[in-house]
Amino acid sequence: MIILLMVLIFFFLFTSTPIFVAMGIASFLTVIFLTDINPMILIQRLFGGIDQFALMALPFFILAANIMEVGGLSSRILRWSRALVGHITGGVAMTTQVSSMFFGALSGSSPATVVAIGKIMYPEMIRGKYDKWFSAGLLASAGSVSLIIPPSITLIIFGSVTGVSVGSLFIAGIGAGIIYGISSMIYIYLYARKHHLPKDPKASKGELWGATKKAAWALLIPVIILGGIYSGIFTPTEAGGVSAVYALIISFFVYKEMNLKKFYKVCVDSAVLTAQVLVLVSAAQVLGWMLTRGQVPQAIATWITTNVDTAFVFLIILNIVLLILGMFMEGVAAIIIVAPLIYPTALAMGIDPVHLGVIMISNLAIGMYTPPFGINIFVTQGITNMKMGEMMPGILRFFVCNVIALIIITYIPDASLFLLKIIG
Amino acid sequence: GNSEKVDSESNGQDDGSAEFEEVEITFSHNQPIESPEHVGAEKFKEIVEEKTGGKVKVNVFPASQLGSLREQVEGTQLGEINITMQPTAVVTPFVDDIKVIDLPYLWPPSNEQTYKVLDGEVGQELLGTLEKGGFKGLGYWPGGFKLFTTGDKEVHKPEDFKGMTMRVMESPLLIEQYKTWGATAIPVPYAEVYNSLQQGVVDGQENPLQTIFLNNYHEVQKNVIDSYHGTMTYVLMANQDWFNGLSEDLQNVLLEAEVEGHTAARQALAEVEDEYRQKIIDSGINYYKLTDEEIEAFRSVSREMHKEVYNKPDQLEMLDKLYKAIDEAGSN
Amino acid sequence: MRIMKRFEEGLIGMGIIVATFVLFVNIVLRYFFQANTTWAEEFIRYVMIWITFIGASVCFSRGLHVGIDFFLEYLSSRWKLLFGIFVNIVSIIFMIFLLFYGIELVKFSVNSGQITPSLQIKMYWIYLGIPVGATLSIIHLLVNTFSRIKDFMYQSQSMQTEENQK
Ligand code: NA
Ligand code: NA
Repeated sequence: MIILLMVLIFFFLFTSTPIFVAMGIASFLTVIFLTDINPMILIQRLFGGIDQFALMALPFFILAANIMEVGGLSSRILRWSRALVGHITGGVAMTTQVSSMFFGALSGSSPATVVAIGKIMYPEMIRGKYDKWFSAGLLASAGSVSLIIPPSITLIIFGSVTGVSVGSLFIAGIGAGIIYGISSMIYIYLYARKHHLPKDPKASKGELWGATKKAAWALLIPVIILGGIYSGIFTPTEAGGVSAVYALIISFFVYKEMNLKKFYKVCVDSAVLTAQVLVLVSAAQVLGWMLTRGQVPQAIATWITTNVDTAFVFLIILNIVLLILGMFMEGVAAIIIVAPLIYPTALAMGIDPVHLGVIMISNLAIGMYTPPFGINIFVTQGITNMKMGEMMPGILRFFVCNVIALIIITYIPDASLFLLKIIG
Repeated sequence: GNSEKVDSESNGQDDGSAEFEEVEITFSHNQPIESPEHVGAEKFKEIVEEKTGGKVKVNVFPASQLGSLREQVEGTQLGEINITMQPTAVVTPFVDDIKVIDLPYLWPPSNEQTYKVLDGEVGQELLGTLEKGGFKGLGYWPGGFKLFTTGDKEVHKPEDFKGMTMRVMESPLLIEQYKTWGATAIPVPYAEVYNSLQQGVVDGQENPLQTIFLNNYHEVQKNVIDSYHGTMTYVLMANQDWFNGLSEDLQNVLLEAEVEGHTAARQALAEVEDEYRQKIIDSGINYYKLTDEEIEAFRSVSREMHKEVYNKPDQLEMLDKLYKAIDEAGSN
Repeated sequence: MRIMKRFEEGLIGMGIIVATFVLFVNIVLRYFFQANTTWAEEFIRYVMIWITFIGASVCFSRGLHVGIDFFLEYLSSRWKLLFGIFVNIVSIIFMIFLLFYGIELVKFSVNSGQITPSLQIKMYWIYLGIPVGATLSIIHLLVNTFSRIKDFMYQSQSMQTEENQK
C-alpha cells in the first residue's frame, strides 16, 4: 500500500501536478484500489488537517502582513532597520534572519513568519544585489526558526504527548533557536563578504532618529504582539487579529496610504494566500494519516528500539530518521506520531526528556523547508515567484548550516539546557 | 486493509477451541503510553490476542494518533476505526443521552460506588443508548474525578466562579455547567490547554489528577481544588455494524477482554493517582479539598440544572433510574 | 465566469473581514465587559475552513497552486501544453473525488445528526464547504482545459500548415 502511494506521489509530482493534488489523489487512488477503507475518511482527514486551533493565527498574520505592506508600514520599518544595521556586512540579509527570529517569538507558525518577513525583505534583498537563490533560501530557512523559539505550537504538542514540562521546553527552545539562527548568520556573513555586497553608509544620528520617528507607529506592532502575548492579554491568534486591525487604522488614518478599494483587494489576496497554504497542510495531513495507518512510523520506531543500544548511535539514527520524516511530513503530525513511540526508548537510554524535545523540534524545523514537502518552500515560492529548482542552491546551503546547528544542539545538551539550569 | 468478515460456520463450537478467522482490529485512544488508559488498552490487546491464538490482532493507536477526539468518534461512526475509547463529553455531540454522566454532582465522591452503578444494570442500559449513534458500547473506562484548577482566584462556592473563564472539553453540557455557576466556558482543544492557562486566555480548567500532573497544568495555575464535581469517564465503543458482523465467539472474547482491560486500567489509575496528588502538593501549589458544606452548596445549585439539560422524557426516566441506583450503591 | 470569480473572491474576502471582526469584538468583550463568547473561536475556525476550500478554487483560476515544475522547463511548448492538459485532468479527477466523497460525508453527517460543540449547528454545514469548493474548482479547471485544448489544436494546425508550405 505504502509503496504504491509513494510511486503515485512521485509520478504526479514529476508531471508538475500541484503538490496538494498529488498528495491527495495518490492517497485516494491507493485507498480506493488497494484497501477496503471507506474513502470518506480521507475527506475527514482533509478537513481535520485544517480544523486546528493551532492554525487559526495564520490568516490573521497573513492579513496583518499584507496590510502593513500596502499601507506603508512595512516600508517604514524597513527604512528604519536599514538605518540601524544596513552598514554591517550582509546587513539586509542579517536583518531578515534576525527579524525572523524576532518574529518567531511572536508566532508559533513558521509559514506566517515567512510571509510576514518575506513580503518586506525579499524585494529589499533583490535590490541589495543578493542572488535570488540566496534570498529565497534564506527566507525559507529563516522562517523555520519560529518553530523552535517560543511560543511554539510544536513544542506544546510534544509536551502534551509525552508529559514533559512545556515551560521547560520553552526555555530550552530559546537557546536552541539562537544556535540555529546563528548558524545561518555565519553563512550570511561569509557570503556577503565574499561577494562584496554593497553596504549602506552608516546612518547619522539625525537620520536614524528621523527614520525612527517615521516608523514609530509601525514599530509599535511588535511591541503590541510581544507584550500582548507574554503578558497574557492575547493568544497568538488574537495578537494576529489585533495587529491587523491596528495596522489598518494606522494605514488609513495616520499614513493615509490605504483606501477601501485597496483594503478589499488586500483581504481577497490574504484569503487566497491562506487557502494556498492551508490546502497543502490539509493534504499533508491526509498523507500523514496514510503513513500512520500503514504503520510506517511505528515500524521505524520498532526497528530503532530493537537494533540500537547506545545513546550516541541512537541520536544519530534519530536525527537521520527525523530529517527524512520531516522532508515528507508536517511537523505537528510527525510529533504526534513519533514522540510517543520514541520517548520511552530515549528515556531508557538516559536522554534528558527536554533535550529530546528540542532535538525533535530542531529536526522538524529543518523539515519545514526541505523538499519535496516543506510548507516554507511553497510560501516562499508564493512570495518570490521562483521555481523550486531555482531555490535549491540556497536551500541546500542553509540546510548544511542548520544541520551543523542540529549537531551542536544534539551533542552539547547544555547548549540548549543551560538557561534551564540557571533558572533551576 | 482489514478483512473483517468472519467465517461464522467454523465458530459454533462450545468446547472453547473456537476457530477464529484472521481479523485486525484498529483501537484508538487519546492518552500517552504511560497512562492507565494505555495500560488497560494493552491488557485488552493481550487478552484478545491470547484467547484467539493470535488470529485476531489488535493495533492500538494511542495519543490521538488517528485524529482529534471528535475525529476519532466520527471515524468510529464511519467504520474506519473499529474500537475507540473516548470521554463521554466528546461523544455527547453524537449521542445526546450519554451526557448524563457529565452532569455536575451526579456521582458520589467514591470510585467504588460509581463503578458499581456504571457496571450495573442502569449503567449498561445507558451504554445501550450509544446505538443511536451507530456505536456498540462495550464498557466504561476510568479517568478519575475531575478537579478544578484556577489562576489567581480561589473557589469555594458557586458564586466564586462569577466572571471567570473556564476551559472545557468540546461539550455543550460542560459549557452549561459553568453557566449555571456564573462562569463562561470556552472549549479549547486538549493540546492548547497549557498555553491558554499560561497566557491567561482562560482562568482555569477542570481535569483529573493524572491529566493535570502529566500536562503540568499545576505549573501555570495557583490553585488545585478537589471538588468531586464530576468524573472523567471514558466509554469504550465499537462501530456497531462491524461488531454485529463478528462471530459470537469473537464478540464474547472482546467483551471479556473489555472487562479485564477496564479492571487493569482502574487499578493502574488508583495506583498513580495518590502518587500524582502528592507530587502536585509537593510542588507548593495551593491544593485544597472542598469541605462537605461547600460541596453541599455546589450540589444543591447543580442538581437544579440536571433536569433542565437532561430533559427529554426518556432522559428524565434514565436520570431517575440513575439517582436510585446511586443511592442503592451507597447504602450497602 | 467573471461573475463566478467575483462571487468567490467576494465570499472569501468578506470571510476574512468577518473573522477578523469577530476576533476583535471578542477581545474587546473579554477585556472591557468580562463577557466572553463561547463560540467565537469555533466560528473563526469554520470560516477559515470555508475560505480554504473556496479559495482553492480561486487558486485554480489564478494558477497559483504550487507544483514542482522543474522538469517541464526542458520540454517544448507543445509538450508543455500536453502536460498542462494532463495535470488539469488529474486535478479534475481529484476534485471529483472531493465532490463525490464530500457529498457522501455531508449526507452521512446529515443522518448522524452530529452538532458542533459551541455554535451547536449541524456539522454538515461545515463539511459542505468541501463539495462546494470542489464544484467551483471543477468549473474553473474545465474552462481552462478547453482553452488549452484549443491552443493545442491551433498549434498543431499551424505546425501542419508550416509543413505544407515547405
Ligand atoms: Na515561535
Ligand atoms: Na520537508
